[in-house]
Amino acid sequence: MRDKIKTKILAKSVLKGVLGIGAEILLTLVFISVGVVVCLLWWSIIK
Amino acid sequence: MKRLKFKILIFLFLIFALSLLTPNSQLMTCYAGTISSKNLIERANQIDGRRVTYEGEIIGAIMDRGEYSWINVSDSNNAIGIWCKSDMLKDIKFIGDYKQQGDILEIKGIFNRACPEHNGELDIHADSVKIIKAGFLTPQKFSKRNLKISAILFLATAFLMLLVRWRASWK
Amino acid sequence: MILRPDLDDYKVIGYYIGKLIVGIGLLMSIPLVMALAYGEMKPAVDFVFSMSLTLFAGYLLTLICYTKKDLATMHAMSVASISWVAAMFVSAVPLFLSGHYLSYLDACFEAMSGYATTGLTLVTNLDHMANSHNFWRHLMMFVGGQGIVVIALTFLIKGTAGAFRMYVGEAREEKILPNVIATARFIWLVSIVYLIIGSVALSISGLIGGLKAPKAIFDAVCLFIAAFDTGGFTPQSQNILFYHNIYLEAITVSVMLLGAMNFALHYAVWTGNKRELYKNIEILTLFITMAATLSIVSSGLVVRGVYTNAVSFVSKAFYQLISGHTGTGYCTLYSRQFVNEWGQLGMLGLTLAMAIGGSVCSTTGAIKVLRIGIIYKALRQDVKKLIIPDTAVLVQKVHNIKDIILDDKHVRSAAIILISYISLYLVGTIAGMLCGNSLSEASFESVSAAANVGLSCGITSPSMPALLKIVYMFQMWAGRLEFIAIFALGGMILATLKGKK
Repeated sequence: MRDKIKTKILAKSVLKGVLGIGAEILLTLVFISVGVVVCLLWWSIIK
Repeated sequence: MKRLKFKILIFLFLIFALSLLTPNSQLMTCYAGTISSKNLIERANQIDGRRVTYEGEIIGAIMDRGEYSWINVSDSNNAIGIWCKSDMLKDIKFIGDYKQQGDILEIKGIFNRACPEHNGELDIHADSVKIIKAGFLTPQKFSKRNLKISAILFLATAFLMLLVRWRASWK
Repeated sequence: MILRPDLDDYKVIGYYIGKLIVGIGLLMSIPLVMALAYGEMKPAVDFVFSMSLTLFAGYLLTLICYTKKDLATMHAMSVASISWVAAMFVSAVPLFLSGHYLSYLDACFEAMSGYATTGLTLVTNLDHMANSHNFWRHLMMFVGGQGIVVIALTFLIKGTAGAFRMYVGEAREEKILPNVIATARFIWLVSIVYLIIGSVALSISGLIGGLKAPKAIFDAVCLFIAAFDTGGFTPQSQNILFYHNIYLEAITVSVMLLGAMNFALHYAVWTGNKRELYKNIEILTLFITMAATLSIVSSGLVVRGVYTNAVSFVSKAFYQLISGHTGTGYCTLYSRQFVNEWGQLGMLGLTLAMAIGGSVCSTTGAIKVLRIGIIYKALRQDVKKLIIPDTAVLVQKVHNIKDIILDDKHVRSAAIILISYISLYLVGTIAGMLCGNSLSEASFESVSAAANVGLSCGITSPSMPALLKIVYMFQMWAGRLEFIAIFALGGMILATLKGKK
């Protein structure tokens, strides 16, 4: 019984970690897209 | 006599004017032979889009992208990326790394300062790739003296470790 | 009144430095095993020699200075600062023996650049370097990025109060978890998890780009380490240009950004607090400073017409900017192209981005976005005070993991570090100009060294004056440790000379 609870807690924290990693990678993609937009903005304004 | 002087004057003036018109005269000379990577980078603006001859050792790897491949060729100062047909590289046997000296290649092709086809890279699109000197395996030698010193030092270290243990047991 | 330190004080410092040197010696077994696996006999002997020398020196120091006393703040700070220099001296030995450095000073420069996760390099003929030597360069970045003390805390030293003081000396003021050892382990967990994910992604991109599997994997691991630890060494002399691979570039951008995040933020997000990602002051400041500096770079490049099509322009401008801002130093340009093609405005934008840097408690160097954020908030609070009625009380909050009420002491410590960095940038700029470089080039290179970035506009080369090499080494060291430990060491030296018994 105790082992079952332990595995459940472990599985939950691993899942949280995996979701966290996903969120962080998503954030870096947001950074990249913002960067691309800023660059293109200046390209179209000055060019 | 006067006319001759006049002619000489005009001739000199023409030479002067011509020399002004060709400020890249130094550049023209470097075309005849090979161009160094340093010149390619420093004078990229002037050479952009022209046909050049470049020489150096192939290093790292051949990166096969299907019909074309990327290689990097170093003249010991810098390495320059070369984009060429994959079948131009089939004779290459040695690629420069720790264990071997790579083949020395002569590349003829068009130089791009910021190639529009390859995300603005400084590269050469090769028309021809020729092996002018074959590479070889680098002989591996190591210092036996250093190995002996290490053995002595390791023994001394082991002794020191025992001393530290002994010191730790003091009250 | 300043008290002169007595023999016991020096012994405590010596003992812990000895332990850290032993740690570095043990670390050399990794490249040694690699050398044997790759059949590189000469490098293997180099590492056996360096390892025996390092372990001998470490144990000798431990024996001479043997003590059971714990570290006080002054000792811990001195240990943190001196151990980085000691680590540099011993780690430079295998590099020097490799024959790829013109002098021992150059090898020391490389070792300091590695530990401080800078990435400026004085190596010659890198393309013919042995895999094991090359991996040692990258391993130093991994160790320096996590912190030499963090390593020692994980393996060698018991978690005492003194251990925590040493950890602080390494520019890590935050305890992520209540226990310093648990904090060190969490830092490792994040690094190892991302090492696996990042190396797999980079290997796949390398294979798609036409590399053979062994080279793709070796390079992927090296590239990941240097990107996540915002270092900037690469296995080949052309830096990222070697790969001619847009996927690989995109993945390294992601890894660099992950490396620039606070480990405390990683902890919050990994334990389920995802809102932190858009509420955190560091992330918000990073967005703003990135957009601002990218705007300067972009306008500079577009006005000069450096790139003829938009794709080239975006990939070059954005890549160098993220690499500079996160303090990595990966480069998809030849260093002289900054001067010859980007021009003054482009270089200025990039220099500013480098000077700002990433998050605190990450692997980046420089002033760091938290401090910029705090100073901006303080400025805003002062302006608001002028507008609202005199009787009103104004409270300014800063959100970094938890809400903090902005206090004068936060602003004070941020301002002190900010001023120290600006002075450090200035010292290097003056030294660079004394050696005959223009203001834009000297400041670019100086900020790159002091902010632990590693982008170069061509000043850093084996032929540069020895004085400049030493100045840059000092900048890298002081910049990585964020001054406090170095001020403490300075205080200790002063106390030795002038203190009363």
